Amino acid sequence: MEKLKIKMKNISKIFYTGEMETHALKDISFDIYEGDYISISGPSGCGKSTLLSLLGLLAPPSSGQYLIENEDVSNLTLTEAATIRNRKIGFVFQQFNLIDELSVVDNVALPLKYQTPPVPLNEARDRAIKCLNRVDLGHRVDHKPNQLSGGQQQRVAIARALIADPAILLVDEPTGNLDSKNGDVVMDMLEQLNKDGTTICMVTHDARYADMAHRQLHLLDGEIVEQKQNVMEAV
Amino acid sequence: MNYFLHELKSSFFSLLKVPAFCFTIILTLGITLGALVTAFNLNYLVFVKPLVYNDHERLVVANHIRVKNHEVDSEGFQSYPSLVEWYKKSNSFDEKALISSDVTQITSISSMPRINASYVTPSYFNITTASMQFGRAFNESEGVNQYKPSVILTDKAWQTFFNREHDVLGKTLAVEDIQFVVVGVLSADFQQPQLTDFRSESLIYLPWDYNTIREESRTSWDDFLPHIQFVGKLKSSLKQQQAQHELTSLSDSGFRRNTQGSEYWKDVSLQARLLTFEQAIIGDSETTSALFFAGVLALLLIAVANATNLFLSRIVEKRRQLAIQAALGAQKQHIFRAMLAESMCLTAGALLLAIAVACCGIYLLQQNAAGQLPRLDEMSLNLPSTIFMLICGITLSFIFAGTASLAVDYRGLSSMLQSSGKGSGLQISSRLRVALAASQITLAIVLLAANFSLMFVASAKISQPLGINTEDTYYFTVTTGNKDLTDLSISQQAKELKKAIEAMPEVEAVSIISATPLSPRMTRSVTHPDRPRDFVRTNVVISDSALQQVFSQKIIAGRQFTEMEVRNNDKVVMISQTLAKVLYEDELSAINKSLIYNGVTYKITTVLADINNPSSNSFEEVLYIPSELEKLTFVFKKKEGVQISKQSIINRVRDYDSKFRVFLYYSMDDLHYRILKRDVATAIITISISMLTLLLASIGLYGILSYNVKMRQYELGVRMAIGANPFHIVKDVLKDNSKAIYWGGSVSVILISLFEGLRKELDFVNFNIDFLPAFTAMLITLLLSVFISIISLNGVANRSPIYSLRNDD
Ligand SMILES: Nc1ncnc2c1ncn2[C@@H]1O[C@H](COP(=O)(O)OP(=O)(O)O)[C@@H](O)[C@H]1O
Ligand SMILES: [Mg+2]
Repeated sequence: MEKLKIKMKNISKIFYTGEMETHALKDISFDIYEGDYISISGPSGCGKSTLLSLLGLLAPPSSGQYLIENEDVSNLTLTEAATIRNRKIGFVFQQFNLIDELSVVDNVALPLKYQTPPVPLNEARDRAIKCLNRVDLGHRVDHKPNQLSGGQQQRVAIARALIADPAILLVDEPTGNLDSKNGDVVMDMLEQLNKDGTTICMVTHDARYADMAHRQLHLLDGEIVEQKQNVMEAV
Repeated sequence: MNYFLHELKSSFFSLLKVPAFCFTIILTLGITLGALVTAFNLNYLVFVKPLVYNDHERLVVANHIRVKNHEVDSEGFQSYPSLVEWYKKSNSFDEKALISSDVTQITSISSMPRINASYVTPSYFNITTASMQFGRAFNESEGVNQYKPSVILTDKAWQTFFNREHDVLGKTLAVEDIQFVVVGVLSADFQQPQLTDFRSESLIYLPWDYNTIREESRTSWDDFLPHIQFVGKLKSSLKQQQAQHELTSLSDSGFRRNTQGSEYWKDVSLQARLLTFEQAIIGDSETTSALFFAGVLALLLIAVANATNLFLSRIVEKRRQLAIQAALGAQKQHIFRAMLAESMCLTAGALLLAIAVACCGIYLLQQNAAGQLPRLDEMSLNLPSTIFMLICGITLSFIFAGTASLAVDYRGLSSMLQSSGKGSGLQISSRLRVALAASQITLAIVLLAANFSLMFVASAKISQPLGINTEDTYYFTVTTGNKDLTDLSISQQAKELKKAIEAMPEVEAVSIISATPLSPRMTRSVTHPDRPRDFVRTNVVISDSALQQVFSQKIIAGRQFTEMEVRNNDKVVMISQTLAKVLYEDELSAINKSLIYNGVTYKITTVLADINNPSSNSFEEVLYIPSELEKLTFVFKKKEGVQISKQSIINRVRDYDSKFRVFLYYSMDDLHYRILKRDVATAIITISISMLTLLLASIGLYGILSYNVKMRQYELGVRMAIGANPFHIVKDVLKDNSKAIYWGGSVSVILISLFEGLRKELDFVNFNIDFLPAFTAMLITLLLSVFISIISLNGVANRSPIYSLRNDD
């Protein structure tokens, strides 16, 4: 039996904006095991990003229980959440979200700066270069993000997400801002990472890419309406 | 033009939708602009506007200076006979007058009010171009030594004492029991030139003969007095220098004749120094008023930096609207015009507020700074001030509109509509933001440093213990009316009156005293018996033996006076610690030694602790002589916990002799407060300005820094997503803001050093910025910046990152 990485039980999320309540997620339960590759799909506004944010501790659930590696993380302070994010979670966003003023290598090493105690600069740089090599960007370490193509930027973002050896990689529409060629490169890279042992949870509405995952969750109006085991895994 | 009106109208309505924005800009600009207009008004009077008197450039005041070994030994005090000599004999003037000012009492009115009066010779009214509503000015019949009891009323006195009766001429007004006949009423716009150090407005004018100066002082050449003055209108053929020369020779020869044989005055010559009316009236307030202007200008600049930033932020918020306008063909000038309309609406609001603030400011200055700043009665929101205000307003409008339209990148605007991505289009450049924040920090530090310097000095003075007990103690003087008394009987009366007061159950102790230790009028010199040429200036207090019981001044060595010593006028003295040190190096060894005072040898029985008298015209060296006095001046201490009213003292004095009346009566605490009044005012003003500075700087910095955070919000969200905790975020933003803090701090250090350097070099102001206040100002401002940096992160660092990452652009 594979090791249980993540357990969500009866998770809901309500946003309050002024008078308005948005029930973004309703009673979500599912598990993620080590080495899993999960895709989440659904129409725009159905709560995909919210679910990913909850998985990534960017916001606490309104109710329900959330465990990462058997540790209850449903009710953490901002600082505790930050520490766990830093140690156990890697994020990849649709808009890459690299910091323009920092060089590629500094972007990648940034999470190490936020560890306590911070990783020494030299070591951080070495580790960042190693990660950049993993995404085939070892030759671009001292460039600024805006000197790179979109696909390259997204690969830098992946390297940044990997640097702290996270328990899980959370990926939100990684190809949304890329052309199909670059999108394919990024997706191939994620698949490779998964094969090397990285647990991945990815939001996408591209069916082609969703099929690359072992398991597909389909969301509608904040609820899981379908769970699909991919044939590939059975092979 | 039509277009522009339309633009103004639509700006007005669109501004109504952002009340907080308008409120902040109008409030900060209005207050500071109003203060600036007040300062301008004062500076205009000090530097530009000529005096209202005819031939004012020929009007001069002559003062005495005493020169010893080619150095000015003393100035600002006048020798009475010398002034009279000038008045009688000088040929350099078309008109000459003598003025003396003092407090006096109106006795024909039941409340017996104490008022300020001036005693003048007839030409005073020609020199000051006085016009009358009724009657006449003084003429030769009221000249020197005529003793004709006439009085001229100011408009205010006419109002107060005669209720504007039209048949006032010929009526009488009793001043200290002498009946003066009203011969004229000055017109309401008469402006008394504030020439003497007695800077209070006189309510009535009496002939010079009736001035309050004692008979001995009128003839004594070496008695130097405040509050009297010689003024004249220079002959047009003469230079000031020539007149000064003539007066000097008159006074010096008279002085030499009359001080012959005096050791003390041997090397001293008595000279004249002429000042124009302008110089005398403005005095040293040029720098004060210029500094006032500079300070308020700095405040305004803080507010301007603040408003610029808010204005820019607003433009950023309107970028989409601007982009659409640009796409529809609006050109740079159209957009500038739209912004100008908006900034004009705002400055118009600020101007309205400024008018109100300026009126308040002028009123407050007139009420509180009288005697400290010149020409206050002439202050008003006059044409020059109004023009100045309008120019400021228009300039500000153009500054705001100009910076805003410079910040707009027109090419960026049009591309903005195509790319819906965030971050593109319009932003305030980070360099401009750093400059704005740094300028606020600099101005705040400099202003605070200057304010704190003044405040620290003032509060040190206010809080320092006096060294005598002023609680429960009172001073009062009694006049004898026109009752004829010989000197002996006055001292007898004083003793009996003292007994009468002492007998009151509320009273603990009474002392007959020449003046209170806080306002010693007498200044004399003493010498060490072996060093007869080393004159030491001291204040002299003459009293009976009860002095110690009233004031509980600390005795460092020796004993109190005995009643016997007082009765026999024994040649013994108590001296202050400082005087003991000056004469005998160490206070203990002075006991039983002697000193020479008035040519007589006195034995030192006692050394008293120094009084920390905050008044600038008193000495640390004080001599206390036991003697009976030919004066009815008393201090008394009431028993703890009981009340005593002025009325009960008045009654007791009247019971003693129905002709006697209490003239002055005040508590020593009041006197202390009055001496400190200027320092208290300084403290209050500097504290208020400091608060205002901090408030404006806080608003401004918050505006800029929170804009910074807003611009970086998404990026900060990303940082949090990859594991930055709130502390990291605060650190990061502080690092970001440290540039502005660094520049603000450095520039202020440079400015303050520059000011200090220039001040030492040119000696142009009478205050300095000390290290401690400057350091405190720096520390407070920097802490404030840090605090505001943290506050500006509200909603970002203390919320889940999901909100920062939400892209609702
Ligand atoms: N921070 C937030 N505040 C308020 N409402 C939010 C917030 N984030 C998401 N929502 C709302 O929750 C719902 C789900 O949004 P989201 O998870 O972004 O959808 P998706 O990523 O599937 O397009 C939407 O209705 C959205 O408006
Ligand atoms: Mg989404």
